[in-house]
Amino acid sequence: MDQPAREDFRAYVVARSAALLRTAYLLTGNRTDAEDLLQVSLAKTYLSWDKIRDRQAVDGYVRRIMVNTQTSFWRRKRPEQLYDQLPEIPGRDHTADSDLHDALWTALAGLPTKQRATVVLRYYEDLSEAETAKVLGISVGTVKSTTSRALSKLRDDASLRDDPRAALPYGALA
Amino acid sequence: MSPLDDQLRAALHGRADVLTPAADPLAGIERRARGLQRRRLAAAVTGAALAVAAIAIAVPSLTSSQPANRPAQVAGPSPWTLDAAKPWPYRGDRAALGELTDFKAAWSARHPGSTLTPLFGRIYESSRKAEVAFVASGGSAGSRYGFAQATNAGPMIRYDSPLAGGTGALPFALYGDEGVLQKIVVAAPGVTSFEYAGDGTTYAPMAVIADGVAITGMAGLTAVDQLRVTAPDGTVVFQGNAPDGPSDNATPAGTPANVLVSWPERGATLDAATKKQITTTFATALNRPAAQANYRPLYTGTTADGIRYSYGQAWFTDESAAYDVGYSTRPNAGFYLGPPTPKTPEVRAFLLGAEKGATTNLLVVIPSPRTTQVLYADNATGPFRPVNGRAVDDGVVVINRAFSGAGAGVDRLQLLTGNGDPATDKIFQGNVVLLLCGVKECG
Repeated sequence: MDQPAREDFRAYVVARSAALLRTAYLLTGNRTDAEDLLQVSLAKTYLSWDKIRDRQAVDGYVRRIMVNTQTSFWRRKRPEQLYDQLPEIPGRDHTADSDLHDALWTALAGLPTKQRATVVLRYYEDLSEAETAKVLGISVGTVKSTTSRALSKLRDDASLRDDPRAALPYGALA
Repeated sequence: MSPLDDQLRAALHGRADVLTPAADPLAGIERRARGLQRRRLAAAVTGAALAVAAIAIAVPSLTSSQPANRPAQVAGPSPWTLDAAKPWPYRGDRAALGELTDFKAAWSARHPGSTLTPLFGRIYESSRKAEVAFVASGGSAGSRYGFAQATNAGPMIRYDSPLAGGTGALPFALYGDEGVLQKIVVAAPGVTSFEYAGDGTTYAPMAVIADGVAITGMAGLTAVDQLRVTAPDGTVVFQGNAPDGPSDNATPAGTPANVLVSWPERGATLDAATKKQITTTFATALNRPAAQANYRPLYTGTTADGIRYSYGQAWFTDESAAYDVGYSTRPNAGFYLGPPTPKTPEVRAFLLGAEKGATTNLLVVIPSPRTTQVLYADNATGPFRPVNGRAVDDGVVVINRAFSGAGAGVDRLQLLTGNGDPATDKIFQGNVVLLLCGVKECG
């Protein structure tokens, strides 16, 4: 990579690494893994930087690498690296809903990787179903069904079942 | 928009939005990129070498008329055989030698006076754990070969076998970092033809990962699979049964069929005195001679409170079944005799007695090596949650299990493999209590 391209890449990293770290955190569930996931994803982007012509599309490219890398990270992980209580809580929200949010966060940790990624892309990144499908490399129909299954699991979680704020009509997203 | 949608968005933003990244991550990214590039180049070179090897072996295999069952090793000394006094040079990742001191210590604890020489080593990308194939000589053990892996519990000797004269290749069956069973074959430098036949007859090339070293993954265990290793001069340096598990060739004759030889011995190394105590107690319990009793640990560990324990299988030589057994040093020296082990279980579970005043027992869950996720529900109907293992090693998890209250006795376990999707990857689900049935009652 020549010097102008390197500076271009550095500018991108400086501008976007905060947002990307947050997405990585939601995909992994803890800061250490998030930083590792972000670093390896940006390293892969660095190696392809000269081939990415549309700089507006870089975020989508990095997101896709993160999701794919996280899936392969997860495959290599062993049960001891999964947590029932996520060990880090970098910023607890102190709203009246914080108990419900804690329960949702814990329930999210129990989702399979693909479902979790779908939830993060749809509900944190606010991507459309079509955009989510593009990032995950799956069809829009699969995004719909995966999201539906994920929300169903969250809804069925014991700690959420009795909370009216977590109510969702069955089949709403099917 | 539903209430759950809004709450989910708020929960995600509440957790993530306060994170801030490191000041200037570029140096770390560039360092990581250089590492990735090196690995990609190495993979490309390996791929090219494999293609050349496939072409090179095509001619002899078309014309050869070798008998189906050759001796497993070449008959006598040849340029391709391994001599423990003059071992093959080391190949693979030199970083794996960083664990060599620990591997040597674990080896010399087994075989005093024996010194190991590494032949091949590698480091897993995700866990950064090392593994090394080696040959050893000296002491009363004679020439041996083995395989050591670094684990959370320290170095583990996965293979420990006598080295026969005329050995031209060392085959191992091991669980890799991803919990996938793989065959690794280490041969002399220059050997490029490694073939594996899962069905025993249809050979396919294995992937050569270093000079004279090849690997192949496999979906499961099979009694018929075969390996064939051929030197460039046409000498078949190995042809025979592929090993089926870490202790496959260390298991003595007369071992019952339900001994879980494909399951690794996880956790700490069991000391000889404790092992003898276990076999003696087992023999006493069943009124048999201690000399005929055998024990193979599935997991050996120590709790935060200093309780040492080992769970595994015990059997009598030449009998048809092995039993689940357990042993712990506190609160009292406890011995657990379970029923005969099922032949192909997905999980074994044991209870470790609580200290006085405690409200929970420790549930030790030893999942099959193909398990990628262990989930636990402390009640009869609620959802399963990924387990936060305490004192875990190689997939073994320890759970605080209530022995009184609403959830006592109705808790459940679920095991997943592969990607961990409960819809498609579930390999076990059931009540914990049924896993804890001893010879008299369930725990």
